Amino acid sequence: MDDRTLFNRFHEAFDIQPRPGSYDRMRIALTAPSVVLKRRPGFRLRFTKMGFRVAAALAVAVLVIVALVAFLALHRSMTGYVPANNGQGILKPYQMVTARGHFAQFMAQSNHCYYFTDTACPAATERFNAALQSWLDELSSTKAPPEFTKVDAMLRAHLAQSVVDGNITVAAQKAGNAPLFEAAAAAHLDVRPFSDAISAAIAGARPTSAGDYRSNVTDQLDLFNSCTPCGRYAGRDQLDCAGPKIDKCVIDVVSVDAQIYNFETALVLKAPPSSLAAKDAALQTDLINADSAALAMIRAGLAGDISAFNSARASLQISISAVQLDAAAVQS
Amino acid sequence: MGVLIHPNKSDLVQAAQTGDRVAFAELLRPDYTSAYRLAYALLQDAGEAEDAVQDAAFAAWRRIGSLRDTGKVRAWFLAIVANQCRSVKRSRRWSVTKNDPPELAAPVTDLAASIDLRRALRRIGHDERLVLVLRYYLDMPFEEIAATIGATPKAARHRVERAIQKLRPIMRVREAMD
Repeated sequence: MDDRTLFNRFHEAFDIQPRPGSYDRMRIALTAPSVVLKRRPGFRLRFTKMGFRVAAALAVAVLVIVALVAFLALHRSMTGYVPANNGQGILKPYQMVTARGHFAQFMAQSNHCYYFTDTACPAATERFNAALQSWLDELSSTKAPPEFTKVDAMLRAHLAQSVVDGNITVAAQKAGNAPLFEAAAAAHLDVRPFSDAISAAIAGARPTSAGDYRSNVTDQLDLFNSCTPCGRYAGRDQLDCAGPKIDKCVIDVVSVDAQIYNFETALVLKAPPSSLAAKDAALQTDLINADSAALAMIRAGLAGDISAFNSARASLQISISAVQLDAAAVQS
Repeated sequence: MGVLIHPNKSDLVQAAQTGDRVAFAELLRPDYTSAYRLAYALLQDAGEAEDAVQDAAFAAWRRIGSLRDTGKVRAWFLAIVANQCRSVKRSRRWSVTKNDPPELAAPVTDLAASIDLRRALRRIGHDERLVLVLRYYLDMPFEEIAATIGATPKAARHRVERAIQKLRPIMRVREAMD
Protein backbone atom coordinates (compact mmCIF):
# COMPACT_ATOMS: atom_id res chain seq x y z
CA MET A 1 0.00 0.00 0.00
CA ASP A 2 1.72 3.21 -1.09
CA ASP A 3 1.46 6.71 0.30
CA ARG A 4 -1.02 7.84 -2.34
CA THR A 5 -3.33 4.92 -1.56
CA LEU A 6 -3.18 5.79 2.12
CA PHE A 7 -4.07 9.43 1.43
CA ASN A 8 -7.03 8.30 -0.66
CA ARG A 9 -8.16 5.69 1.85
CA PHE A 10 -8.10 8.18 4.73
CA HIS A 11 -10.02 10.77 2.80
CA GLU A 12 -12.59 8.28 1.61
CA ALA A 13 -13.05 6.86 5.09
CA PHE A 14 -13.31 10.10 7.01
CA ASP A 15 -14.08 12.97 4.69
CA ILE A 16 -16.66 14.92 6.61
CA GLN A 17 -17.63 18.51 7.28
CA PRO A 18 -18.77 19.81 10.65
CA ARG A 19 -22.54 20.03 10.68
CA PRO A 20 -24.00 23.47 10.00
CA GLY A 21 -23.60 25.97 12.80
CA SER A 22 -21.08 23.77 14.58
CA TYR A 23 -18.42 26.48 14.89
CA ASP A 24 -21.02 29.05 15.90
CA ARG A 25 -22.22 26.85 18.72
CA MET A 26 -18.67 26.59 19.99
CA ARG A 27 -18.16 30.32 19.63
CA ILE A 28 -21.37 31.08 21.51
CA ALA A 29 -20.37 28.63 24.25
CA LEU A 30 -16.99 30.34 24.49
CA THR A 31 -18.30 33.87 24.54
CA ALA A 32 -21.65 33.69 26.37
CA PRO A 33 -20.86 34.75 29.93
CA SER A 34 -23.59 32.72 31.57
CA VAL A 35 -23.14 29.51 29.63
CA VAL A 36 -21.71 26.46 31.28
CA LEU A 37 -20.25 23.95 28.86
CA LYS A 38 -22.88 21.40 28.00
CA ARG A 39 -22.17 17.86 26.98
CA ARG A 40 -24.23 15.83 24.61
CA PRO A 41 -26.32 13.33 26.46
CA GLY A 42 -24.79 9.92 26.66
CA PHE A 43 -24.78 6.99 29.02
CA ARG A 44 -22.25 4.32 28.33
CA LEU A 45 -21.19 2.88 31.68
CA ARG A 46 -20.13 -0.72 31.68
CA PHE A 47 -20.83 -2.70 34.83
CA THR A 48 -20.11 -6.17 36.06
CA LYS A 49 -23.15 -8.06 37.36
CA MET A 50 -22.30 -7.22 40.96
CA GLY A 51 -21.36 -3.70 40.00
CA PHE A 52 -24.67 -3.32 38.28
CA ARG A 53 -26.57 -4.48 41.37
CA VAL A 54 -24.63 -2.07 43.59
CA ALA A 55 -25.16 0.76 41.11
CA ALA A 56 -28.85 -0.06 40.81
CA ALA A 57 -29.25 -0.02 44.59
CA LEU A 58 -27.41 3.30 44.78
CA ALA A 59 -29.53 4.71 41.96
CA VAL A 60 -32.73 3.72 43.73
CA ALA A 61 -31.50 5.36 46.95
CA VAL A 62 -30.54 8.53 45.07
CA LEU A 63 -33.93 8.61 43.31
CA VAL A 64 -35.78 8.33 46.61
CA ILE A 65 -33.73 11.19 48.09
CA VAL A 66 -34.17 13.34 44.97
CA ALA A 67 -37.92 12.70 44.94
CA LEU A 68 -38.15 13.65 48.61
CA VAL A 69 -36.12 16.83 48.13
CA ALA A 70 -38.11 17.74 45.00
CA PHE A 71 -41.38 17.21 46.83
CA LEU A 72 -40.27 19.43 49.70
CA ALA A 73 -38.92 22.13 47.36
CA LEU A 74 -42.10 22.05 45.28
CA HIS A 75 -44.27 22.21 48.33
CA ARG A 76 -42.35 25.22 49.63
CA SER A 77 -42.37 27.09 46.32
CA MET A 78 -46.08 26.47 45.78
CA THR A 79 -46.97 27.74 49.21
CA GLY A 80 -44.63 30.75 48.92
CA TYR A 81 -45.94 31.97 45.57
CA VAL A 82 -48.93 34.21 45.02
CA PRO A 83 -50.55 33.09 41.79
CA ALA A 84 -52.22 35.57 39.44
CA ASN A 85 -54.83 33.14 38.21
CA ASN A 86 -56.40 31.88 41.41
CA GLY A 87 -53.54 29.47 41.66
CA GLN A 88 -54.66 27.41 38.69
CA GLY A 89 -51.94 26.29 36.32
CA ILE A 90 -49.59 29.25 36.55
CA LEU A 91 -46.43 27.75 37.88
CA LYS A 92 -46.52 24.41 36.17
CA PRO A 93 -45.00 25.27 32.80
CA TYR A 94 -42.35 27.35 34.47
CA GLN A 95 -41.46 24.53 36.73
CA MET A 96 -41.21 22.51 33.57
CA VAL A 97 -39.03 25.10 31.87
CA THR A 98 -36.70 25.17 34.81
CA ALA A 99 -36.84 21.47 35.56
CA ARG A 100 -33.58 20.48 33.97
CA GLY A 101 -34.22 16.82 34.55
CA HIS A 102 -37.43 16.79 32.58
CA PHE A 103 -35.84 18.93 29.95
CA ALA A 104 -32.78 16.73 29.65
CA GLN A 105 -35.05 13.72 29.33
CA PHE A 106 -36.53 14.85 26.08
CA MET A 107 -33.31 16.43 24.90
CA ALA A 108 -31.63 13.04 25.31
CA GLN A 109 -33.83 11.74 22.55
CA SER A 110 -32.91 14.52 20.22
CA ASN A 111 -29.47 13.56 18.96
CA HIS A 112 -30.84 13.22 15.48
CA CYS A 113 -30.70 14.61 11.96
CA TYR A 114 -27.03 15.54 12.21
CA TYR A 115 -26.50 14.24 8.72
CA PHE A 116 -28.51 13.96 5.55
CA THR A 117 -27.94 10.21 5.58
CA ASP A 118 -29.32 9.74 9.10
CA THR A 119 -32.03 7.15 8.53
CA ALA A 120 -33.30 7.59 12.10
CA CYS A 121 -34.07 11.27 11.46
CA PRO A 122 -37.80 10.99 10.62
CA ALA A 123 -38.75 8.85 13.61
CA ALA A 124 -36.59 10.85 16.00
CA THR A 125 -38.01 14.11 14.70
CA GLU A 126 -41.52 12.82 15.23
CA ARG A 127 -40.73 11.99 18.88
CA PHE A 128 -38.90 15.26 19.43
CA ASN A 129 -41.69 17.29 17.86
CA ALA A 130 -44.24 15.51 20.04
CA ALA A 131 -42.23 16.54 23.12
CA LEU A 132 -42.04 20.14 21.91
CA GLN A 133 -45.75 20.16 21.13
CA SER A 134 -46.62 18.84 24.57
CA TRP A 135 -44.51 21.61 26.12
CA LEU A 136 -46.27 24.15 23.91
CA ASP A 137 -49.67 22.80 24.97
CA GLU A 138 -48.76 23.18 28.63
CA LEU A 139 -47.59 26.73 28.03
CA SER A 140 -50.74 27.58 26.08
CA SER A 141 -53.02 26.45 28.85
CA THR A 142 -51.40 28.68 31.45
CA LYS A 143 -50.35 32.23 32.14
CA ALA A 144 -46.73 33.30 32.47
CA PRO A 145 -45.61 35.03 35.66
CA PRO A 146 -45.36 38.78 34.93
CA GLU A 147 -41.56 38.93 35.02
CA PHE A 148 -41.39 36.29 32.28
CA THR A 149 -44.16 37.54 29.99
CA LYS A 150 -41.82 38.76 27.27
CA VAL A 151 -39.49 35.80 27.26
CA ASP A 152 -42.54 33.54 27.36
CA ALA A 153 -43.57 34.82 23.92
CA MET A 154 -40.10 34.08 22.63
CA LEU A 155 -40.17 30.60 24.10
CA ARG A 156 -43.51 29.75 22.48
CA ALA A 157 -42.42 31.13 19.11
CA HIS A 158 -39.23 29.05 19.13
CA LEU A 159 -40.92 25.84 20.17
CA ALA A 160 -43.57 26.22 17.47
CA GLN A 161 -40.99 27.14 14.84
CA SER A 162 -38.83 24.16 15.74
CA VAL A 163 -41.75 21.81 15.16
CA VAL A 164 -42.28 23.28 11.69
CA ASP A 165 -38.54 23.21 10.92
CA GLY A 166 -38.38 19.57 12.02
CA ASN A 167 -41.13 18.67 9.57
CA ILE A 168 -39.32 20.54 6.79
CA THR A 169 -36.12 18.66 7.68
CA VAL A 170 -37.82 15.31 7.25
CA ALA A 171 -39.57 16.38 4.04
CA ALA A 172 -36.29 17.66 2.58
CA GLN A 173 -34.59 14.38 3.40
CA LYS A 174 -37.36 12.43 1.72
CA ALA A 175 -37.16 14.69 -1.32
CA GLY A 176 -33.38 14.27 -1.53
CA ASN A 177 -32.81 18.00 -1.02
CA ALA A 178 -29.59 18.06 1.02
CA PRO A 179 -29.07 21.88 1.20
CA LEU A 180 -32.64 22.40 2.43
CA PHE A 181 -32.19 19.53 4.89
CA GLU A 182 -29.02 21.16 6.32
CA ALA A 183 -30.71 24.54 6.70
CA ALA A 184 -33.92 23.16 8.20
CA ALA A 185 -32.00 20.85 10.56
CA ALA A 186 -29.83 23.76 11.73
CA ALA A 187 -32.96 25.77 12.52
CA HIS A 188 -34.79 22.80 14.05
CA LEU A 189 -31.92 21.67 16.29
CA ASP A 190 -31.18 25.20 17.45
CA VAL A 191 -34.10 24.81 19.84
CA ARG A 192 -31.73 22.82 22.07
CA PRO A 193 -29.23 25.59 22.92
CA PHE A 194 -32.18 28.00 22.93
CA SER A 195 -34.14 25.97 25.47
CA ASP A 196 -31.02 25.50 27.49
CA ALA A 197 -30.36 29.25 27.61
CA ILE A 198 -33.95 30.09 28.44
CA SER A 199 -34.32 27.46 31.16
CA ALA A 200 -31.03 28.55 32.74
CA ALA A 201 -32.20 32.18 32.69
CA ILE A 202 -35.61 31.46 34.20
CA ALA A 203 -34.16 29.14 36.83
CA GLY A 204 -31.43 31.60 37.78
CA ALA A 205 -33.33 34.90 37.37
CA ARG A 206 -32.31 37.34 40.09
CA PRO A 207 -32.34 41.09 40.65
CA THR A 208 -29.11 42.97 40.07
CA SER A 209 -27.81 46.45 40.78
CA ALA A 210 -28.07 49.20 38.17
CA GLY A 211 -24.32 48.95 37.56
CA ASP A 212 -24.41 45.20 36.99
CA TYR A 213 -27.43 45.51 34.73
CA ARG A 214 -25.76 48.21 32.62
CA SER A 215 -22.59 46.18 32.40
CA ASN A 216 -24.59 43.12 31.33
CA VAL A 217 -26.27 45.11 28.54
CA THR A 218 -22.89 46.42 27.35
CA ASP A 219 -21.42 42.91 27.33
CA GLN A 220 -24.32 41.50 25.37
CA LEU A 221 -24.25 44.33 22.86
CA ASP A 222 -20.51 43.82 22.37
CA LEU A 223 -21.09 40.14 21.74
CA PHE A 224 -23.76 40.94 19.20
CA ASN A 225 -21.61 43.55 17.47
CA SER A 226 -18.67 41.19 17.24
CA CYS A 227 -20.70 38.44 15.58
CA THR A 228 -19.83 38.46 11.88
CA PRO A 229 -23.19 37.29 10.45
CA CYS A 230 -25.01 39.65 12.84
CA GLY A 231 -23.16 42.57 11.29
CA ARG A 232 -24.02 41.40 7.80
CA TYR A 233 -27.69 40.61 8.29
CA ALA A 234 -28.68 43.33 10.73
CA GLY A 235 -26.46 45.92 9.03
CA ARG A 236 -26.71 47.43 5.58
CA ASP A 237 -24.64 44.86 3.66
CA GLN A 238 -25.92 43.74 0.29
CA LEU A 239 -26.84 40.09 0.73
CA ASP A 240 -26.51 37.41 -1.88
CA CYS A 241 -29.26 35.01 -0.85
CA ALA A 242 -31.14 34.52 -4.08
CA GLY A 243 -31.78 31.08 -5.54
CA PRO A 244 -30.03 28.09 -3.97
CA LYS A 245 -27.89 30.37 -1.76
CA ILE A 246 -30.88 31.02 0.44
CA ASP A 247 -30.32 27.78 2.37
CA LYS A 248 -26.86 28.97 3.43
CA CYS A 249 -28.35 32.33 4.41
CA VAL A 250 -30.87 30.55 6.64
CA ILE A 251 -28.00 28.90 8.51
CA ASP A 252 -26.42 32.34 9.00
CA VAL A 253 -29.70 33.72 10.33
CA VAL A 254 -29.88 30.86 12.83
CA SER A 255 -26.53 32.11 14.19
CA VAL A 256 -27.78 35.70 14.28
CA ASP A 257 -30.87 34.61 16.15
CA ALA A 258 -28.72 32.75 18.69
CA GLN A 259 -27.07 36.06 19.58
CA ILE A 260 -30.47 37.71 19.90
CA TYR A 261 -31.94 35.10 22.23
CA ASN A 262 -28.72 34.97 24.25
CA PHE A 263 -29.06 38.74 24.72
CA GLU A 264 -32.68 38.36 25.81
CA THR A 265 -32.01 35.47 28.18
CA ALA A 266 -29.10 37.41 29.72
CA LEU A 267 -31.59 40.19 30.54
CA VAL A 268 -33.99 37.70 32.11
CA LEU A 269 -31.17 36.22 34.16
CA LYS A 270 -30.08 39.59 35.55
CA ALA A 271 -33.23 41.57 36.18
CA PRO A 272 -32.82 45.34 36.51
CA PRO A 273 -33.69 47.43 39.56
CA SER A 274 -37.03 49.26 39.36
CA SER A 275 -35.28 52.47 38.26
CA LEU A 276 -34.35 50.76 35.00
CA ALA A 277 -37.46 48.62 34.59
CA ALA A 278 -39.04 50.76 31.85
CA LYS A 279 -35.84 50.84 29.81
CA ASP A 280 -35.44 47.11 30.27
CA ALA A 281 -39.00 46.55 29.07
CA ALA A 282 -38.33 48.59 25.92
CA LEU A 283 -35.09 46.72 25.27
CA GLN A 284 -36.73 43.33 25.75
CA THR A 285 -39.62 44.31 23.47
CA ASP A 286 -37.21 45.22 20.68
CA LEU A 287 -35.20 42.06 21.21
CA ILE A 288 -38.36 39.99 20.95
CA ASN A 289 -39.22 41.89 17.75
CA ALA A 290 -35.75 41.17 16.39
CA ASP A 291 -36.16 37.51 17.30
CA SER A 292 -39.53 37.39 15.55
CA ALA A 293 -37.99 38.97 12.46
CA ALA A 294 -35.13 36.44 12.47
CA LEU A 295 -37.63 33.58 12.79
CA ALA A 296 -39.62 35.06 9.90
CA MET A 297 -36.42 35.16 7.81
CA ILE A 298 -35.81 31.49 8.61
CA ARG A 299 -39.39 30.59 7.69
CA ALA A 300 -39.20 32.52 4.42
CA GLY A 301 -35.76 31.12 3.62
CA LEU A 302 -36.87 27.53 4.15
CA ALA A 303 -39.86 28.22 1.90
CA GLY A 304 -37.47 29.65 -0.72
CA ASP A 305 -39.36 32.95 -0.65
CA ILE A 306 -36.67 35.59 -1.19
CA SER A 307 -39.03 38.58 -1.13
CA ALA A 308 -40.49 37.52 2.25
CA PHE A 309 -36.92 36.88 3.42
CA ASN A 310 -35.84 40.40 2.43
CA SER A 311 -38.94 41.91 3.96
CA ALA A 312 -38.29 40.13 7.26
CA ARG A 313 -34.68 41.27 7.08
CA ALA A 314 -35.88 44.87 6.89
CA SER A 315 -37.82 44.25 10.13
CA LEU A 316 -34.70 42.76 11.66
CA GLN A 317 -32.66 45.83 10.73
CA ILE A 318 -35.27 48.15 12.27
CA SER A 319 -35.51 46.07 15.45
CA ILE A 320 -31.75 45.85 15.88
CA SER A 321 -31.42 49.62 15.39
CA ALA A 322 -34.04 50.00 18.11
CA VAL A 323 -32.11 47.59 20.33
CA GLN A 324 -28.97 49.70 19.87
CA LEU A 325 -30.89 52.83 20.88
CA ASP A 326 -32.46 51.07 23.86
CA ALA A 327 -29.06 49.84 24.98
CA ALA A 328 -27.68 53.37 24.69
CA ALA A 329 -30.64 54.68 26.72
CA VAL A 330 -29.87 52.15 29.47
CA GLN A 331 -26.39 53.65 29.81
CA SER A 332 -27.66 57.24 30.00
CA MET B 1 -23.36 48.89 13.83
CA GLY B 2 -19.71 48.56 14.80
CA VAL B 3 -18.18 45.21 14.03
CA LEU B 4 -15.02 44.33 15.90
CA ILE B 5 -12.23 43.76 13.40
CA HIS B 6 -8.91 42.15 14.31
CA PRO B 7 -6.63 42.47 11.33
CA ASN B 8 -4.28 39.57 11.97
CA LYS B 9 -3.57 36.49 14.02
CA SER B 10 -1.06 38.07 16.38
CA ASP B 11 -3.58 40.82 17.24
CA LEU B 12 -6.14 38.13 17.96
CA VAL B 13 -3.69 36.23 20.16
CA GLN B 14 -2.81 39.42 22.01
CA ALA B 15 -6.47 40.32 22.50
CA ALA B 16 -7.29 36.79 23.63
CA GLN B 17 -4.42 36.84 26.10
CA THR B 18 -5.87 39.96 27.66
CA GLY B 19 -9.22 38.23 28.16
CA ASP B 20 -11.09 38.89 24.90
CA ARG B 21 -13.14 35.74 24.36
CA VAL B 22 -14.57 36.94 21.07
CA ALA B 23 -11.06 37.41 19.70
CA PHE B 24 -10.18 33.95 20.98
CA ALA B 25 -13.14 32.40 19.17
CA GLU B 26 -12.12 34.22 15.99
CA LEU B 27 -8.59 32.89 16.41
CA LEU B 28 -9.91 29.32 16.33
CA ARG B 29 -12.29 29.89 13.42
CA PRO B 30 -9.87 29.04 10.56
CA ASP B 31 -8.79 25.81 12.25
CA TYR B 32 -12.19 24.65 13.44
CA THR B 33 -12.81 22.32 10.49
CA SER B 34 -9.35 20.74 10.82
CA ALA B 35 -9.91 20.29 14.54
CA TYR B 36 -13.29 18.70 13.94
CA ARG B 37 -11.92 16.37 11.27
CA LEU B 38 -9.05 15.34 13.53
CA ALA B 39 -11.44 14.61 16.38
CA TYR B 40 -13.78 12.72 14.08
CA ALA B 41 -11.00 10.55 12.68
CA LEU B 42 -9.69 9.81 16.17
CA LEU B 43 -13.05 9.15 17.80
CA GLN B 44 -15.08 8.01 14.77
CA ASP B 45 -18.20 9.63 16.17
CA ALA B 46 -19.54 12.94 14.87
CA GLY B 47 -21.24 14.02 18.10
CA GLU B 48 -18.28 13.14 20.28
CA ALA B 49 -16.00 14.93 17.86
CA GLU B 50 -18.00 18.14 18.21
CA ASP B 51 -17.97 17.85 21.99
CA ALA B 52 -14.25 17.11 22.02
CA VAL B 53 -13.45 20.19 19.94
CA GLN B 54 -15.61 22.35 22.19
CA ASP B 55 -13.96 20.94 25.32
CA ALA B 56 -10.58 21.48 23.70
CA ALA B 57 -11.53 25.09 22.95
CA PHE B 58 -12.25 25.65 26.64
CA ALA B 59 -8.98 23.98 27.57
CA ALA B 60 -7.19 26.15 25.00
CA TRP B 61 -8.81 29.26 26.48
CA ARG B 62 -7.45 28.33 29.89
CA ARG B 63 -3.98 27.88 28.39
CA ILE B 64 -3.97 30.83 26.00
CA GLY B 65 -1.39 32.59 28.17
CA SER B 66 1.12 29.88 27.30
CA LEU B 67 0.84 30.39 23.54
CA ARG B 68 4.05 32.07 22.43
CA ASP B 69 4.45 31.37 18.73
CA THR B 70 1.50 32.95 16.95
CA GLY B 71 2.52 31.18 13.74
CA LYS B 72 1.76 27.82 15.32
CA VAL B 73 -1.80 28.36 16.52
CA ARG B 74 -3.12 25.46 14.45
CA ALA B 75 -0.53 22.99 15.74
CA TRP B 76 -1.09 24.23 19.31
CA PHE B 77 -4.87 23.88 19.10
CA LEU B 78 -4.76 20.51 17.32
CA ALA B 79 -2.45 19.18 20.02
CA ILE B 80 -5.05 20.16 22.63
CA VAL B 81 -7.80 18.54 20.55
CA ALA B 82 -5.74 15.35 20.27
CA ASN B 83 -5.23 15.29 24.04
CA GLN B 84 -8.94 15.81 24.56
CA CYS B 85 -9.67 12.90 22.23
CA ARG B 86 -7.24 10.77 24.19
CA SER B 87 -9.20 11.55 27.36
CA VAL B 88 -12.46 10.65 25.64
CA LYS B 89 -10.93 7.38 24.51
CA ARG B 90 -9.75 6.63 28.03
CA SER B 91 -13.21 7.25 29.40
CA ARG B 92 -14.53 4.81 26.81
CA ARG B 93 -12.62 2.00 28.53
CA TRP B 94 -15.44 2.09 31.02
CA SER B 95 -18.00 2.18 28.29
CA VAL B 96 -19.95 -0.43 26.48
CA THR B 97 -18.43 -1.48 23.19
CA LYS B 98 -19.06 1.22 20.71
CA ASN B 99 -21.09 0.44 17.64
CA ASP B 100 -19.63 1.20 14.28
CA PRO B 101 -20.45 4.77 13.30
CA PRO B 102 -22.92 5.24 10.46
CA GLU B 103 -20.79 4.40 7.48
CA LEU B 104 -22.73 6.73 5.23
CA ALA B 105 -21.79 9.79 7.29
CA ALA B 106 -19.20 10.62 4.68
CA PRO B 107 -19.41 10.13 0.95
CA VAL B 108 -17.54 6.92 0.39
CA THR B 109 -16.40 5.49 -2.89
CA ASP B 110 -15.02 2.19 -1.57
CA LEU B 111 -17.11 1.34 1.43
CA ALA B 112 -15.40 -1.93 2.33
CA ALA B 113 -11.94 -0.37 2.24
CA SER B 114 -13.12 2.53 4.38
CA ILE B 115 -14.68 0.28 6.98
CA ASP B 116 -11.50 -1.76 6.93
CA LEU B 117 -9.35 1.30 7.57
CA ARG B 118 -11.58 2.54 10.37
CA ARG B 119 -11.43 -0.81 12.11
CA ALA B 120 -7.70 -1.08 11.64
CA LEU B 121 -7.19 2.37 13.14
CA ARG B 122 -9.15 1.35 16.21
CA ARG B 123 -6.64 -1.44 16.81
CA ILE B 124 -3.56 0.74 17.01
CA GLY B 125 -2.56 3.15 19.78
CA HIS B 126 -3.69 6.76 20.11
CA ASP B 127 -0.27 8.22 19.24
CA GLU B 128 0.05 6.10 16.12
CA ARG B 129 -3.49 6.90 15.04
CA LEU B 130 -2.83 10.59 15.64
CA VAL B 131 0.22 10.85 13.40
CA LEU B 132 -1.47 8.90 10.64
CA VAL B 133 -4.52 11.15 10.73
CA LEU B 134 -2.40 14.28 10.76
CA ARG B 135 -0.38 13.01 7.82
CA TYR B 136 -2.89 11.26 5.60
CA TYR B 137 -6.15 12.96 6.46
CA LEU B 138 -5.18 16.52 7.36
CA ASP B 139 -2.36 16.34 4.78
CA MET B 140 0.11 17.97 7.12
CA PRO B 141 3.80 18.30 6.32
CA PHE B 142 6.17 16.63 8.79
CA GLU B 143 7.21 20.01 10.20
CA GLU B 144 3.65 20.76 11.30
CA ILE B 145 3.07 17.23 12.56
CA ALA B 146 6.23 17.70 14.61
CA ALA B 147 4.91 20.94 16.09
CA THR B 148 1.62 19.25 16.97
CA ILE B 149 3.08 16.21 18.68
CA GLY B 150 6.01 18.07 20.21
CA ALA B 151 8.80 16.31 18.35
CA THR B 152 11.38 17.07 15.68
CA PRO B 153 10.34 16.69 12.03
CA LYS B 154 12.65 13.68 11.72
CA ALA B 155 11.05 12.01 14.74
CA ALA B 156 7.61 12.81 13.33
CA ARG B 157 8.53 11.07 10.06
CA HIS B 158 9.77 8.01 11.95
CA ARG B 159 6.58 7.86 13.98
CA VAL B 160 4.46 8.00 10.85
CA GLU B 161 6.49 5.21 9.28
CA ARG B 162 6.25 3.06 12.40
CA ALA B 163 2.50 3.64 12.54
CA ILE B 164 2.13 2.54 8.91
CA GLN B 165 4.11 -0.58 9.68
CA LYS B 166 1.66 -1.38 12.46
CA LEU B 167 -1.36 -0.60 10.36
CA ARG B 168 -0.40 -2.61 7.27
CA PRO B 169 -0.51 -6.13 8.72
CA ILE B 170 -3.89 -5.48 10.35
CA MET B 171 -5.32 -4.27 7.09
CA ARG B 172 -3.75 -7.14 5.13
CA VAL B 173 -5.17 -9.69 7.56
CA ARG B 174 -8.57 -8.14 7.31
CA GLU B 175 -8.37 -7.94 3.53
CA ALA B 176 -7.39 -11.63 3.41
CA MET B 177 -10.31 -12.53 5.67
CA ASP B 178 -12.87 -10.61 3.62
